[in-house]
Amino acid sequence: MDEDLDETVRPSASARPGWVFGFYAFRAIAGLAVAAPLAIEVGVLVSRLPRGDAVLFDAGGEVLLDVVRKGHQAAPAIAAGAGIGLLVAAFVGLAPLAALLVAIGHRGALPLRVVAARSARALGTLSLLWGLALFTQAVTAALVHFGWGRVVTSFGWAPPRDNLARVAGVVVVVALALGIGVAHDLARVVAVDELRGTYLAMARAIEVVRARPGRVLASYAARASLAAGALAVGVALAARVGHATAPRFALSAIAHQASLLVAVALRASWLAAAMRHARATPPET
Amino acid sequence: MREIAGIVGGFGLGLASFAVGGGLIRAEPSGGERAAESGAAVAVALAPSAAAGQAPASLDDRWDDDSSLPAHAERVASYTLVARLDPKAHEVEATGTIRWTNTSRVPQQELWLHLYLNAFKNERTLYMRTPGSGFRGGGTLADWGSISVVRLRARELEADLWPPADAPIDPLGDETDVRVPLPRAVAPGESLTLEVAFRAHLPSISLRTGHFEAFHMVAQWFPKLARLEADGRWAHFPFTRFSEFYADFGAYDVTVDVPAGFVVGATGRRTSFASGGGREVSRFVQDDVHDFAFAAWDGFREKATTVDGVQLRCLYPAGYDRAADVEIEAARFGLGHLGAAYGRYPYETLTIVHPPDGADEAGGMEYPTLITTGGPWYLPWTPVRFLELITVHELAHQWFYGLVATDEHRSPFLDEGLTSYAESEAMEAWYPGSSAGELLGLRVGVPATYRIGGLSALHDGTVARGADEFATGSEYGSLVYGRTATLLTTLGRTFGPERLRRALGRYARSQRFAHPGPEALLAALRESIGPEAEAVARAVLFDGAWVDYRVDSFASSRPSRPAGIFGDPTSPSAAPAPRGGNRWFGDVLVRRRGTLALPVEVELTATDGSVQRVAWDAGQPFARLPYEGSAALASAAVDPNHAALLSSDLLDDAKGGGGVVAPRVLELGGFVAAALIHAAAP
Ligand SMILES: [Zn+2]
Repeated sequence: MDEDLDETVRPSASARPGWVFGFYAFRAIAGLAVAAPLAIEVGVLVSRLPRGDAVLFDAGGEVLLDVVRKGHQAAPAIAAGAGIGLLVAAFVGLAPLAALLVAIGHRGALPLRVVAARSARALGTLSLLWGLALFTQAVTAALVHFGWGRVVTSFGWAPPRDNLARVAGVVVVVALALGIGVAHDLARVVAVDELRGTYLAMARAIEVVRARPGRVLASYAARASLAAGALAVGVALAARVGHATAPRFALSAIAHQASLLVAVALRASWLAAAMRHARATPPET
Repeated sequence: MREIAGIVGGFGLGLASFAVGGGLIRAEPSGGERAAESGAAVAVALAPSAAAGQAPASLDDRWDDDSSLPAHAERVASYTLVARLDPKAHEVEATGTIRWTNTSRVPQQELWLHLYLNAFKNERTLYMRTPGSGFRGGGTLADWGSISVVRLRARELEADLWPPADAPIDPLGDETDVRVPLPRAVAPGESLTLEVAFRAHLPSISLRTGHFEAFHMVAQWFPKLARLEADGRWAHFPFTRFSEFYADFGAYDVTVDVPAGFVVGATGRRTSFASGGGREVSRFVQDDVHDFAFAAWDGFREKATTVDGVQLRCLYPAGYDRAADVEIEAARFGLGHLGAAYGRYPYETLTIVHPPDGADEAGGMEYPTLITTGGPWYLPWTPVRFLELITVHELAHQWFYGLVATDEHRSPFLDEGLTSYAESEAMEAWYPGSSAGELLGLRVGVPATYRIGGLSALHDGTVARGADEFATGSEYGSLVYGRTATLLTTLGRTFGPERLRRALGRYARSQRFAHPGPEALLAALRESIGPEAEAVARAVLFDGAWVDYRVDSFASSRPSRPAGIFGDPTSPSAAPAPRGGNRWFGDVLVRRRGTLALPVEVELTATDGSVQRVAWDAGQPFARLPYEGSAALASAAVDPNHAALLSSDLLDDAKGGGGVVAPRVLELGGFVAAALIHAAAP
């Protein structure tokens, strides 16, 4: 442990608003970067129109569908670019995540140099954990999806039982993915806070979950559902305000970004809670 | 009929059909002028109204409401059948009579019978021989279908007519269109009673009809007389891939006998029901229709209600309750809206059948007083209003196909095209601006989807062709559905929606229980809107006329004091003040490509926000429109409200935008991407 940082404080996200905002800013900018190729393609297509891309939000969608029609040849390239962009953004995002974790685990002045050094030491582990989690989530989802789909088909159930069984399969996939995500978060917290390697971080994550499953789940579920709710409210508000005029566009953007900021803050709050849970669970080894 | 896969697959956006259909275009006796010299605008020229073909009675204002609607159709071909369904063998055995009257002006020496189910009999049938890309019915048959006539006897002639004297008409073996010679001529006005017995084996579900497990869609299942036109010509045709049907009106009285537990949805009103011996027998009766179909399944759930005196019944699979609610609501809205536009719905019943998963080929189809919908159970929770669209579409067919019984083989645009427009107009009245769906503030209307659909075929493809004259299913769908609907929307937006509504209302009411051809529709446009509207429609339908507008450039400036020497060169006077004072002058170069000269408005916006609208008749391929205003021109847009929805490119209709990045797309896309990163929790 670095001697120049105070480890004894209670990890807290609200004590580090600047770092939380920085983490949000990274996500917002990464989102814009991922969306940029699409925005340029559409921008060129509507560049002759006096109202620009505002017409895409007009009732009836006549120009919107013309843009889709004329732009569909570029769609595979844009979709591939966006997919790769999302992966890169997620990977690069491990650095600000590590910095955020360092920040919420400490109090007082936090020199950038110290944060950088501390988070850099965890980056290798975070990368491995991320790859493992992604792989596990994908494999689990595929197994449940295809396996369960076959099982349901073999039953030959009539709707609605058949429909409900398939919906249940999707729910299970999402729940498993979220469960893996929770364990992943705990492992990452440990990797940064305790400077553990990949294997030990995973072992510690499982230890923490086994020691206090109810409290971990409650911490996560409360914040994750609030974050999902915040995003949903943002989407609904922006859709209601619309994009027709510049003021409405600005309001929509504010609604979107505000909901994203709230979601990110809740996520930071969850990570702080995860850190508290980890610190409250003494290592067995 | 409406395609299910195409709509669910994303607002009907399809890849362009590259098939060249030129060699297939039939010379249709349009009666009007057919000028299509390259570059020449054909639309605003007046089309001679002395058209060959059906000249309808004068379309005066008595057709603006329902007071003159005929109560009944002429009974020409009436069917009384008793049908027994064996769902294990997928067979229907039936006996009964066909009462037919020669309503033509010509004695008839023969009858023509359609045996549609024989289209599924073997690989030699015309239907199976025709490649069917881009349309329904593409899958392979797991079970062949056929119809065997056991007995056909003309009672008054005391003659057995079956087997017919001649071999099948088609040398390769198609048996869907059969000529039945009569022992003597049947005079005009004379009637025949045909005693008939037949056995129908339903195919595995394909192209609207057949069986899927215990579900049976029993359609095109009985020997069906072709329609006899007034001039004595039989409008008969073999079963082709893209073609629907055509028949005379009559009274149908069909008794359907199914195993106990099977729920039956059928054309007409159920007048009796009896059960016993493990069977259930229902009798369905309906006057003033030209077909009869029924669905039978032991898995149906049922909801029923009454709308303005019409008994509405929805039969659907378990788990589709929400879908059934949506379809009933759509039918409730449609009966009111379409009835007001095209004349009251005259029948007492309307049955909606939502086929189960796997039987989609039965879905999206219209029969008299019975329509089929379709699609997966979760559709009510998606942002696309597919269930509303398909229900309103099939319901609109009760007018354009059912009551206005056009020849679907010869002029499919008269039923599918008008129905698509009626669907589009009704859905826009129900959900203005977002009738097809809505997501993240992006709203799409049905007119836009039909416009895109109509653009996927060749830009100069003709619409008014027979169903067998399209190269591919996509071309058929694009032109017949999309292009026709977009043409009518264009007419409404260009000449006024009320005038179009009046034209189509008069057409539909005056042609109720009749069999009009394209000329009746064109006459309605001419008489209710004007010769310009008729000319536009004729050019698009028959000549493949098309149009695209473009703003090429614009410029404006404020005159300055003229340069040069004024007055005596040795002591020149001051230059005169510029003409026009502080005003700005300039012009806009607009272009029209294509053969359709549709008048449009051009919107000129100045830097101070002032807006001028000038009319452009688009009679010439280009024009320089003068500008004078209080500030410099900032932008120019042809047809800013997309009145000419037929225009094949909306993105070059203006000039004066700016920037190569779409800020709203960047904002919305950036938010969605950030939310995705958040959801993936890295
Ligand atoms: Zn249709």
